[in-house]
Amino acid sequence: MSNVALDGKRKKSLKARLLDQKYLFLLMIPGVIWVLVICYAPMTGLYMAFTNYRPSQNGYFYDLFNAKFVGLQWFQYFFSKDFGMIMRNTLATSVLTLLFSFPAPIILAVMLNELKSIRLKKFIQTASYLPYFISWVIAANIFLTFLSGGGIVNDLLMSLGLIKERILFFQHGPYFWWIIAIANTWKGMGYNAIIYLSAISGIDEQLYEAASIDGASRVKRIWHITLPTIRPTISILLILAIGGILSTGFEQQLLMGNNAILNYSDVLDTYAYRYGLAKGMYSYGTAVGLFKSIVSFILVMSANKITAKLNDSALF
Amino acid sequence: MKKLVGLMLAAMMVLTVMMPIAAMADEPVTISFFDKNSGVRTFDDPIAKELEARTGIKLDLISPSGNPGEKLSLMLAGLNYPDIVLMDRSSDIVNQYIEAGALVNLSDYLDQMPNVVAMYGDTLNKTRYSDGNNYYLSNWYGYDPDPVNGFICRYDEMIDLVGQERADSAEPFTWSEFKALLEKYQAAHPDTNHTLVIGEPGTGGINGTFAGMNSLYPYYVHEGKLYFTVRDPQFMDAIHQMNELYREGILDPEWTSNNSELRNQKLSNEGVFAFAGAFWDTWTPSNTLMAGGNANGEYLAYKVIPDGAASADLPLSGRSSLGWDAIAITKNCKNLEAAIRFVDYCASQEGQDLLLWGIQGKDWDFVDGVRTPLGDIIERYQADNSNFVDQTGITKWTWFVKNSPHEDDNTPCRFWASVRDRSTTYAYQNLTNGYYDSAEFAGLEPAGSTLEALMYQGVIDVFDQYYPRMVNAPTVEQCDALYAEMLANMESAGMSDIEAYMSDVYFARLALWGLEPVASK
Repeated sequence: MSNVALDGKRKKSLKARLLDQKYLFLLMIPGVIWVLVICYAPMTGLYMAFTNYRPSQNGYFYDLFNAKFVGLQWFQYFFSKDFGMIMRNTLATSVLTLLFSFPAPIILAVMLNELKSIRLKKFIQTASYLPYFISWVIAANIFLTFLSGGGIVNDLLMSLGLIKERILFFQHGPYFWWIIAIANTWKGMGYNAIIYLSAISGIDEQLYEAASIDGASRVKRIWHITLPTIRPTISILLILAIGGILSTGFEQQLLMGNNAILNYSDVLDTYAYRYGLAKGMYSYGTAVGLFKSIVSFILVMSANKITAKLNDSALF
Repeated sequence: MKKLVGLMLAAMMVLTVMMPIAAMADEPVTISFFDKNSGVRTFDDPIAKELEARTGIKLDLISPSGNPGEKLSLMLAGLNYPDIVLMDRSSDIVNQYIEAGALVNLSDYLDQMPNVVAMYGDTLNKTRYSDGNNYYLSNWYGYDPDPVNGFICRYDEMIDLVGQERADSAEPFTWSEFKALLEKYQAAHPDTNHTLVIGEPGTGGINGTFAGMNSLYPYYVHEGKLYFTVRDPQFMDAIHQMNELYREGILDPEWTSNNSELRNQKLSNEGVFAFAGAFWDTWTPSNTLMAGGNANGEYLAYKVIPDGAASADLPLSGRSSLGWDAIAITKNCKNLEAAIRFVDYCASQEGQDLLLWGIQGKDWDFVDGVRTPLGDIIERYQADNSNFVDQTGITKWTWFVKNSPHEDDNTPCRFWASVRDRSTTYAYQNLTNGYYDSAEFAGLEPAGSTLEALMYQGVIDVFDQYYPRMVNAPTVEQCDALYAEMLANMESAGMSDIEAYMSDVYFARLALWGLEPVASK
């Protein structure tokens, strides 16, 4: 039965099928080349993490494969020195970001979906989408100015009588994690809401009508129709978010951080950048980056497995 | 007839082939140049054109968009560096380029660079690499006893606080006297929380004014060994002074998160009495204040000495005679002869005068044997220096700069320094006896992708994190506790090993140069 197609004819051989689809395969070649050259070929550089790489006039590949092999020396140094602090900062910022930025676009999308006024809906959608296009340089300056000692946030808190002394937000490390989480959410919320809105737009209107006839309130319609229907989208975005939990940001930390709170603002990406690129310690920077990639891979796989078991829907 | 046609065709072919060659012969040679300081400037001003005309070399200036250090690292890794690179001399990137074999050994070509040899003199010996060869030329080299750090105070406020005569006096203030002025100003301006603004923390060192006032050098040399400054017994005196000002609400509480724009914004507004740092850092806010109609709303330099100091000589103005930048020709340079010619011309006195004084006869000329700016050059520069530099090109390209007065007429290397404005006059008058040559301390750190370099960076990272925390500590006890914690963390990051490494390099260098330590305590 397995070799017999549903229409009763025998399934064609692999060679025949390849020949049949030769034009499709030809069309695929540029994409395959792109993936190999751009995504896989640079991975040879990961070997740098196990050597003492130093560039010379002999060319990249010569230097890479003739560099002194040092095994796990760079990893050992990282784990024995800054690993704890860097992971604490990375995870704290990521978990807080996830806490805010994951539900925020779902709530926004559901609320937008419930709006009757198309004009208002479009306005809110555009306004919430706009920060996504603002560069971090500008966004960081906005946050630095608003949250400065003489900034609008302190003015507001003082005038409301909520604080007696101005808060120096950028002088206290733990505040920085919250600031980054809020900034990340503010910037990405509108963009992510569009994905949920497109999922919501696919829901059959008849379901809502039937529920209304049965006397379901608006909240019940959201709870029993909207949210269960967009659950696969939520699952996929959650898997992606968990996979990227160690990529908690880069520009925002560099632009808003300062030395007084470096022990709270330094995350894996900024650390690898400072050592790898800014200081020219290529092997060490690569080792830190490789560690991050491995952990991210494990997280994605775990999240995918768990989601598949809980929801019957997974990314792969 | 056939022969004639054949001959004509052959002649046309020869001409066609030769024409591009003839055109190429007239075309200037192009040299690519990465200047980490050039920012977004374009090489198309009158000085740039004159330099191209005089050397016959066209310059392809490569912009250091983003972080120049990162770009230099990337260019080194990709072997795609340009013909000439200008790097930060104090950074280990220079040694990385040398170790990678990316730079041309200039020692082999010194006979083709007579101007370089004549101008640089002994500096060439001091900038040799450990193999005895010269791979780069310094920029801003030479002994330059110009003042740098001090307390740069609002002149009008100073007159209000101490009277005109004292405000104009060259007599230094003691720390107690100056602190009393800060407190008096603070009391008169209860709404301000930044009576004293200081520069945002850099890396590996504390504020230059407080360091100089407490006789701190880049490293602490004691009984034949070199240590990080944190081990200097006077280190905590400087930290305690800053911490006290922070606790009293005098020091700008957000000094750590300032950047140059935010700092200038604060200095341009009311509510600031003084800035601790280099005197030229206040020029922009001074111009803003004076443009508002307050002729005395200018920041002027004052010297403050510790209470009971035996001497008013303080290391407030450390400058390296070996300069700030390193300029090197790379092995990617296809036309070495042209690059050498360009370098030698720029380094010559004629080239320096072109870059830093302008075109002779148009921008300056000799008057009674002395270089003198012509027309309203000085006035235009003082009115709007950044626009003036951009438009005229004078002092826009600062390459191979010999930072010493001219040997023939003793005028400064840059035209604008020949006429001192009030800010510079006060700096020279008040910040006296502060110069020392910091060349012996430059580039001691381990370079490149080594475990020692990693440890060094770890030690510096610890220091950078603790310095602002100590200054911002809520009590002096917490400040001291943080200091002890910092020392322990620096030690566990490998401080002693790095000190031993740098000590060896330092004393070997002194022996090579035939020098004694500038300050052994």
